[in-house]
Amino acid sequence: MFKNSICFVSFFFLFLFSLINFFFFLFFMIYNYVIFLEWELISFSSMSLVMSILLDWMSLLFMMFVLLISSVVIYYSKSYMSSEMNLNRFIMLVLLFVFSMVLLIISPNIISILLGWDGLGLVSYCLVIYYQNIKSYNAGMLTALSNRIGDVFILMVIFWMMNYGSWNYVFYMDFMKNDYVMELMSIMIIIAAMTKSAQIPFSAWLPAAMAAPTPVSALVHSSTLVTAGVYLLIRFNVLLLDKFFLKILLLLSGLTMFMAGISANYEFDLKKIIALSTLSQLGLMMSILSMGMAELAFFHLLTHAMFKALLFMCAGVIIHMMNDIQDIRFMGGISNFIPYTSLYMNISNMALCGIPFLAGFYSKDLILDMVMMKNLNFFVFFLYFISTGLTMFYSFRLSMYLMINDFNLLSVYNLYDEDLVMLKSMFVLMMMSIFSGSMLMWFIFSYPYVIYLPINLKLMVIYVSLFGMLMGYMISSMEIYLMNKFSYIYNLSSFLCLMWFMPNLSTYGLNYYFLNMGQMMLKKIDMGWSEFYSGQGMFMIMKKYTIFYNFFQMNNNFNIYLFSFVLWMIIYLMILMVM
Amino acid sequence: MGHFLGTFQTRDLDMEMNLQPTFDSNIGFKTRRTQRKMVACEEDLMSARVPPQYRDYCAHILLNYLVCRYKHMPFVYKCAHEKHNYMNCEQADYVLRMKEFEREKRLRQREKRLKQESNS
Repeated sequence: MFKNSICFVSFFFLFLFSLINFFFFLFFMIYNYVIFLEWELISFSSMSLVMSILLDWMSLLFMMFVLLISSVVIYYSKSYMSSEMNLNRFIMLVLLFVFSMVLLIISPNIISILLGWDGLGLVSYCLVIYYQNIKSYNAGMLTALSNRIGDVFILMVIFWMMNYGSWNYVFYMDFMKNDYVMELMSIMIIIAAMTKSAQIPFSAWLPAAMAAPTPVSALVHSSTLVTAGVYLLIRFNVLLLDKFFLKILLLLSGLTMFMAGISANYEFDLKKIIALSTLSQLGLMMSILSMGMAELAFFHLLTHAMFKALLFMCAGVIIHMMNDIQDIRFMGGISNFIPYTSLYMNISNMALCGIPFLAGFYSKDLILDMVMMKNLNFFVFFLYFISTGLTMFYSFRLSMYLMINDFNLLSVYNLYDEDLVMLKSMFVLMMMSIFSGSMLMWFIFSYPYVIYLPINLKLMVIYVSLFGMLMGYMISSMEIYLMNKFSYIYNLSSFLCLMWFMPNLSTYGLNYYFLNMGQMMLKKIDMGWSEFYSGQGMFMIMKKYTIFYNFFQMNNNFNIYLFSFVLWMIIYLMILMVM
Repeated sequence: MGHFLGTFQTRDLDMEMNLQPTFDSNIGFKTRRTQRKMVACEEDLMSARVPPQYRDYCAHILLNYLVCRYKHMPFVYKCAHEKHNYMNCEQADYVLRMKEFEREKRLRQREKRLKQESNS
């Protein structure tokens, strides 16, 4: 039964392609190969529309990761979505999503990038509204419309790029770097990437997109949708150096990781905490990218994809166990009932925090060391380190709530049995979460980074992590009466836990004033003065005069005829007398 | 961060971390300093497609590492020794540059002090 299902077939082929990609990656890496394929579709008035494919070690490695994660996510979905009536439709949507991402990865052409980019936006909308309730409709609309801003900017880049006669941006990046048009385009590309990677003004959609089924969250928030923006900027990296806007991006992405770290500590929804940690890591990637170290951003993107997918999949198992409850205050002691999942959850959490020799350590520690080696100001420096401490803070708090604290509310949730299908799929990612960091570190960096720091600066990461751990422990064991103390700083708390009011900015903030103005216009102008003067008013005037004339015409016409006859006779006589 | 510590109390000297030495290289030395020699030749670096930013005084050791990677791929961990050699060389290079920076800073301070003394 399982062998013939769409899940198994999709899993098999995606896994196979992933392995093939890995071997091609090794081959391309050894020989430093790049393959560029072009098909000219149409050529008109010195412009050519070309479908092109770029295969280099970067695109092959990224494709390998995307395909690996999507294959295990589909394998996992067989069990997670077993009560779903339309499983085929779900798997088709996921496959479409993966296809869009692959198209985006292998395109060096801005038009095919738009195709992949828009495909991601569209299919993510379909997946977010998959459960078809009001909450998911709203979340889907927010997701789709936020991403639409990025689509519009990519469209504008396409229009501007018409000046060059082709849309293969790779040809122009080195030669037209200082062109005014190219600078405009680079700003547009940065804004587009910021919408997809949910950087600060556009952050609200990422936690909202948690309305999607958990396997989709595992796929979307680890390796596909949110990393599309980072990948686009990695590809455009040559173009973006020494731009003023890039410095703004550094600030915004630094603030994003800080904001997400703070908000995750206030959050009680299991999936939202993980989503906010994704946002924090995205901020880290974008900020290191804005310092010009694209390889590091790519490295962190890959390792993060592994442990974040695993984290979401563990969250899915826990949500199943809890009878679809996502609030962590109801959870506790789950390691007694689902030990393997708890093990995976702990490993992925530790990898996220950068505990030495797990995947996250290699990328995150390298990034922080490079930050220390760079000439940065203190503000950015502290943003990085406080955010690293906050990562430890919310991860430890989450672990405490889930595993160490006593269980709450439900008395029968220990009846759940761990599912072998889910465990097998998570096992693959668990192994990757442990080994991928070291493996990629050896593979990717042909030219190693040199780090040379004072011992205390080097140990700064450990210091902030230990402090974060302590804070996480204290917060998770907080007594209920301490909650009352938060009422003193209610305004500050609500500011921090509502992501600096960014959901309001993206939803009410954008809609409210315009809708309110529209309603005012409707009341005051459409239904008010214009009605008074034109519609109803004109009718009333007409009616009044019609009644007035009717009075002459219908009721007293004999008198009026007589009166006018006499009047005319008098006038006539007077004329005669004068003459 | 390094910039903050490295230029502490020398803001008035207008120094940046990536500054080139401006004084004569032999001031204050009893022996004559010789210029460093580039070991790796340009042809080798070009044929190995080493990017320009890595063509420094450690490039010959880097070439060893790259050759080792080529030979042992995908078992790149076997090149740990070569990688460590390269890192050591780069570290020594970094120390040298920082010493030059410190020398530049002290020479500037000295120049400033001498100027103030002559004015007063």
